[in-house]
Amino acid sequence: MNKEKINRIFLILLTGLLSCLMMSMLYLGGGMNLKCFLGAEKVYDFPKEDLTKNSKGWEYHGDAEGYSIVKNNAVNKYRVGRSTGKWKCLYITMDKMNVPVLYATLEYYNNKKELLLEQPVELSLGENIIFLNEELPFYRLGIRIRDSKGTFFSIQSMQARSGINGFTPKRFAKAMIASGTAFLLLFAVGMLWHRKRGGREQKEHTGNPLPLSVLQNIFCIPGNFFGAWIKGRETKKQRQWLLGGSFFLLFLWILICNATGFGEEETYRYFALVCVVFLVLAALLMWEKPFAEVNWRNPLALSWCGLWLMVIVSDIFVDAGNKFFGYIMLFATGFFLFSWNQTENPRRVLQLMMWALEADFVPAVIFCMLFRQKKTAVYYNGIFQTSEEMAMYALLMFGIFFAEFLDVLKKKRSLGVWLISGSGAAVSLYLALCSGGVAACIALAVLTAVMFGIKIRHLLRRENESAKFRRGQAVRMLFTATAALLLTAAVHAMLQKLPETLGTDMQIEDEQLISRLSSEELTLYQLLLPEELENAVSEDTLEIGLYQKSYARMIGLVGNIEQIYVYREPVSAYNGYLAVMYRYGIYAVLPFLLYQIWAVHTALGNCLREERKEHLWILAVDIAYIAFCIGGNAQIVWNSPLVWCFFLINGYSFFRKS
Amino acid sequence: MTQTLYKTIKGKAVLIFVWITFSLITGFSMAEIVTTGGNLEQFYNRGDFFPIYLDGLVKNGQNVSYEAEEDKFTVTAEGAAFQFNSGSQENGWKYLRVNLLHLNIENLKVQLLYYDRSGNIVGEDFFSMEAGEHVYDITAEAFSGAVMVVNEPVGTTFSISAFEFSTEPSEKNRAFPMAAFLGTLLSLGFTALLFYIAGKKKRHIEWYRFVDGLQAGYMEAGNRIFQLWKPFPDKVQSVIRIGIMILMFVVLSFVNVYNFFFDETWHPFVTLFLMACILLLAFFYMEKPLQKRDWRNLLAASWVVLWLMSCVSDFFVTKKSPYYGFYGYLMIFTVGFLLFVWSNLEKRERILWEICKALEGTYFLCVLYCLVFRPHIDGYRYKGFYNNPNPFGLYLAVVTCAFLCELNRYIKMGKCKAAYLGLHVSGLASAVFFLIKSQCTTGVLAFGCVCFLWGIGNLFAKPREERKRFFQTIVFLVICYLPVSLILQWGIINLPGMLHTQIVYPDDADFAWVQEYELPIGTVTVHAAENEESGVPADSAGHMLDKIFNSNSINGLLSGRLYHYKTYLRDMNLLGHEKRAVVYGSSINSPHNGFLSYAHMYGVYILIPYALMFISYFVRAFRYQKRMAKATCFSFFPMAVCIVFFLENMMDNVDTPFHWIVWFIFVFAGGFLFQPDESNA
Repeated sequence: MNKEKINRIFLILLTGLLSCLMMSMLYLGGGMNLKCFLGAEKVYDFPKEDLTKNSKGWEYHGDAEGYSIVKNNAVNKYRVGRSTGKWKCLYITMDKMNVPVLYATLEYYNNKKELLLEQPVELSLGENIIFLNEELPFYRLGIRIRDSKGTFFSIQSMQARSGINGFTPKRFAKAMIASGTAFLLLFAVGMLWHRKRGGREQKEHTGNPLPLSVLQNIFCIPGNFFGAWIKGRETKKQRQWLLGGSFFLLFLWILICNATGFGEEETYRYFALVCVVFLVLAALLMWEKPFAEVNWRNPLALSWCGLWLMVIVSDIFVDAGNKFFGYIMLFATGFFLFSWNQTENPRRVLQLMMWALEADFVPAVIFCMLFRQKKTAVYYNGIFQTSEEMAMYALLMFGIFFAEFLDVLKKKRSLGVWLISGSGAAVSLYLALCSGGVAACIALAVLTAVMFGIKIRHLLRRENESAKFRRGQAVRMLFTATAALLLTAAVHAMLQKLPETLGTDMQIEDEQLISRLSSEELTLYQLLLPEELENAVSEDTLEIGLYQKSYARMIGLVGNIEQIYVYREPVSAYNGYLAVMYRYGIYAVLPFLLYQIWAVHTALGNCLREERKEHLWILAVDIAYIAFCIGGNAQIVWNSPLVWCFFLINGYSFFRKS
Repeated sequence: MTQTLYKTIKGKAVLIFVWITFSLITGFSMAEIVTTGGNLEQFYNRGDFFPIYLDGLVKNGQNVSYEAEEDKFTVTAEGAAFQFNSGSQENGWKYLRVNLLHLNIENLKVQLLYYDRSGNIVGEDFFSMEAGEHVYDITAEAFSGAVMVVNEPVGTTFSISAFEFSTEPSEKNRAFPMAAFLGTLLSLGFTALLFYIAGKKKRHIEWYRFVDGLQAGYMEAGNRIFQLWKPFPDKVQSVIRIGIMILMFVVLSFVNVYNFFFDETWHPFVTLFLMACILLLAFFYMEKPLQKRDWRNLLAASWVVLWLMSCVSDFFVTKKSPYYGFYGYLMIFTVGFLLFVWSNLEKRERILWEICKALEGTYFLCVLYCLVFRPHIDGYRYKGFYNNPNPFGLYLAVVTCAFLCELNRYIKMGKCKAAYLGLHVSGLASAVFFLIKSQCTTGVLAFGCVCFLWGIGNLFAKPREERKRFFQTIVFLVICYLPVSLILQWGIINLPGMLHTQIVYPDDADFAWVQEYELPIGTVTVHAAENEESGVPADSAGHMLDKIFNSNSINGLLSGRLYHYKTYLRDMNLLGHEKRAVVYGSSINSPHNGFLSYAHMYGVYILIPYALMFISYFVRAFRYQKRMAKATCFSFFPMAVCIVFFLENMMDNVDTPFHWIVWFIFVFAGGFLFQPDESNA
C-alpha cells in the first residue's frame, strides 16, 4: 500500500471518528450549537479547598475526609464563578453520610453579602441535582444545616451549571455507538457506489492539487523577480551568510519577544511582520534558478497545508485573538519551504538553521545566567514565562547538540567541534532537567533513546578505524566530558547565585512558578521564602484532568477564543490536540495529527536511510514536539522556537529529488 | 499628438492634485496635533467631553417647555431643571461650555448639582449665565451626572445651542487656522523639495510591477481553473450570470434587513457567500485563457492604491464590528479577479447590459415583494423591502439609471418593440413613484441630477429623430406615470392586507419617523433622516422641496448630519480606527459621508486615492459615454451610476464595502472602466 492510500485510510477513519464525536456531543448538548457542541452553558467546578474548608459549625476532618456538623446552626459559604451570575443547577455528590437524608437550606448572597433567597434542599448519598432559581443572579451560595449537630458527611464534588448536564458516560457511549454505526453504513454505501463507478480503475493523481499548484505558481512570480535580483547582487558565499544571519535573527527575535513579552495582544502584528520579513528574505536568498512547481502531493505536505487552511478558516469565523498565523504559515512559510525545496543542497539550509539556533543559544544562556536566577523548589523558567516553554527550548537545543555529538563520535573533527557539541548538549540537558516536568522527562528519554538507537549501528561498526584514530577520539571525548562537566557546573553555579550577587535578577510578566514539591512542602518553603515563592503552585495541585474536561466541553466546529477558567483561574489545556480542537475547531486536529504521524514517519525513514545529524535533529524535534503535545501545551503557538522548528524543518522532506 | 499632450497634462494634473491634497491633509493634521496636543492616533485632542444635544435637553427637562419652531425653552413652573447622566464612571470634567441665545432676561441664574454613580451629591456650583458662548469652571472632582436647576421665574425664555462638559476649556482654537495654513505651506515646500531631489536622482518607482504581478496571479489561478471549465452555451452563461447577480442582490437585501451584515457571527458567512458569488461570476465570464491587460490608468491605479492602503491600515489597526478588516484583501484578490476577467472580454458592453438586467430583475422581484408583503402605512415614509426608507430610496435612484439606459435604446436606435418600451417606461415610472414615496432626499437629488444629464444629452442630440423620440418617450412616461402610480398605490395599501401577507421586520418600528416627529422637539437624529429643525409636516407632498428651500440651518438641510461630520472630523488619525466614532453618546452612528467614513476607517491619507478614484471614474465614464453613445445604449450607465453614487455617498453611508446593492453596482460599473475600450465605437 502506498503512502497516499494509507493517508486516505487514516483520513477517513479520523474524519469518521471526529464526526461521530461531534454528533454525539451535539446530541448530548441537546441542540445545534456549532460553536460549542455541548451547549454554551457556564460550568463552575468548586475547588478542592472549598470542599474541605472549615466554617461556622462545619469541621473538616482530614483523616476521615469528611465534615462534622458541630453546631445546630452551621453554615458554609462558597463563591460561585468569577462574578455575579445566574445558574440553573447545582450538582453535589455526597461521598459519605451518617444519615440517610440531610436537610439543608441553600442561601443566595450578592457581592455585598446580603441574603437574597433561601431554598430548602434534601441531600442524600450519591449525586444530588438541585435546581436553582435561574432568574436570580448571585455571587455566593451558602449551605446552612440546622438542628443536625453530630451529622457527618463528605462532599466529593460540587458543580454549578447554567444548563442541565446532558453528559453521562453511558449516554455518550450510546451516542458514539449509534453515530459510529451510521458512519460505517454511510462509508459502506460510499464504497459500494465508488466501486460501482469503477473507482479502482480511476487514474492516479500525481501532480499537485489545483489550489496548491496555483499557490506555487503564484510564489514563482515575486520569487523569480526578487530572487534573481538578489542573486545578481550577492555572491553565493554572501547569500549563505545572509541566510544564516536571517535564521539567527528570526530565532533571536522569537526569543527576545518571549523574554520581553512583546508580541502579545496588540503588538502581535509587529512580531508577525518581522517573522514574515525574515522568512521571505530567507526564501529569496535560497533562490538559485528560476522557480518551478514542485510536487507536494505527499501526505506530509498536504497535511501541513491542510492544517493552515483549517487555521485560516477558523480565523474567519473566530473574530479575536492572534490572527494571521495561518496566513503567515501558509504564505510566508509556504514560500520559504517552496524555495527550500528547489535548492540544490537542502541539507545545507538545515545546517545553517542548526548553526543559527546554536548561535542564539549562547546569548540565551548568558541572559539566564545574568538575569534569571534559579529559584529554590520550583522549575526553572529561564527566558520564558513557564518552565514548560523553557524545557521545550532546552530540548530543541539538546536535540541539535546531541545529534552533532553523535555525529562527531565516528568522524575526525577538530576538538572545537567536540567541545561545542558536547558542552552544548550538557548545558541544554541541564536546563531541560531544571525546567522539565513529566512531559519533558519523557520527551528527553524517548528522543535520547531513539537517537542513540539509530546511531548505535553506526557506532558499533569498526571498519577502517585505526587504533590511533580510536585513541584520538577517546582523548577528545575525555576533554569534552571534562569541559562539559565544568561548563555545566559553572552554569549551575551562576544560575544559583550570579543574578542575586549582581542584583540583576528580573521577573518576566505573568510568570508561572511551578514546584515539583507537594503542596505541604511548598507551603513550608513559602514560609521560608515568602517573596521568592509568592505565586508558586505545586505540581500536585494542577488538576489536569479537570482542565482537559473544561476544554473538551467547549469544543466546537470552527473554534473558540475565550479563555477557559477553572476555579476562577485561567488554565491551559495540557494537551495539544485538545487545545487545537478547542481553538481551531474539531476538524483541525485531523491535519494536525496526520502531520505529526507523517513527520515522524518521514524523519525516521530519512534517519534510517542516511545517518546524518540533520536527519537526527528533525526526528528529535518531532519527538519532543509530540511528547509536549500529548502531555503539555505544545500546540500552534508562535512564541516557541520548538514549535517554529517543528513546522519549518519537516518541510525539508516535502519534496525530495529522486 | 493630442493624445500625448492629453496624457502629459493629465499626468501633471494628477501629480499636482496629489501634491496639494497630501499637503492639505498633512498641514491640517499637523495643525490639529500642534494646537491641541494631539498625536498620530488622535490628531485632535479634545480631551474627554460629554456633549448634551438638544433632544437630550428636551427629554430631560422638567417644568420647561420647548417650542420647536422658535427653538426656545420656557420656564413653566418653579423648580425648572435639566438632568444629565453620562451613564459611565465618574469623569473629571472641569469645564462647562454653554451657548445661550434668545434670553429674555439679563442673566440666567442656575444651580448645578453633581452626582456620582451611586446618586450621591459630590459637588455644587452656582452660575449666572449670560447670553452667548461662555465656559464655566466646575468645582466637583469627578461626577457621572448632573442636575441644572434654573432659578428664574415662570415665563423666562432661552435657547441653548451648545451644552457640554469637558476636560479642556474650549473647543475653539484661534491658533488653528494659522497653524493649518503654515502647516500646509510647509508640507507643500517639503514635498516639492523631495520631489525635486528625487527627480534629480532619477529614481523611478515602477509601481506597475505590483499590478503586473497581481495580474500574473489572476492569470495563474484563472487559467488553471479555465482548463477544467466546461462553459455552457453563451446564452445560458449569460442567464446564469444575471441569475448570480440577482441572487447576490436579493440575499444582500435580506441580510441588511435582518442586520446580519454587521453581526459578528453572520458576517463571515455573508462575506464568504458574496465572495463565492463573485468568483462564480468571474468563472462564468471567462471565455478564453486570460492575458495581461493594460491597467496603466488612473482609475485602476487609485483603486489598487486605495485597497492597498486599507490593507496597511488593517495591519496596524484591528477592526472591530461594525468596521471589519480584510476588505482590502477581498477587493484586491476577489473583486480584482472579476474585473480582470472583465478586462479580458472581447465584447465588454454586455457586462453593462447584464448588470442592468440584474438590477431590473431584482427590482421586479422587489416590486412584487413590496406589493404582496410590504404595505404602505399612512403617515409613514415607505420603506419598501428595506426597514428604512433611506436605503430604499438610494437603491431606487440606481435602478432609475438602468431604466434610463433602457429608454436610450429607443431614443438612440429607434428600433424597439412597443412592449419593450412600455415595460421600461412603466419600470421607470414605478421607480419614481417609490422614490417619491420613500421621501429620500438624497435619492431624489441624485435621480434629479441624472435625469437632468440624461435630458440634456438627449435634448441636444444631433439627429432630429433622436430628439423626436426623446420627446415621445417623455410624453409616454408622463402618461404612464398616472396609471402605474395608481395601481401601485392601491397595491401597496390594500394587497398585503387582503392577502394577509404583511411582513414586519424586527427593526421596522424604529425607523418610522412620524413617531419621532410627534415628540415636541426638533430632533436631529439622522436615521430618521428628514426630521429637522424646520418642522415640516410628516406626509407633506412638498417635504423634500420644503426641506431644500426652507431649512433654517445647514444642519437642518442636512438632517442633522453636520453633527456627524463634525464628530468624525474631530476623530481623524493617521492609520484609522477600530470602530466608529462616538456620536450622540454611542458608536453606532456612521458619518453619513463616504470620504469621512474612509478617512476614519483607514486613516486620513486614504482620501487621496479615494478622491482620485472618483475623479478618474467620472472622467472615464464621461469619455466612455461620449465615445460609445452611438454604439450602445448602456454607455450612459457608468456615468449615471458614478453621479448617483457620488451624491449618495456625500450624504449617506452607501460606501460600506459589500454592504449595499448600490455599492456593488458602483464597483461593477467602475471595474468595467478599468480596461481602455479597444472596440471601435
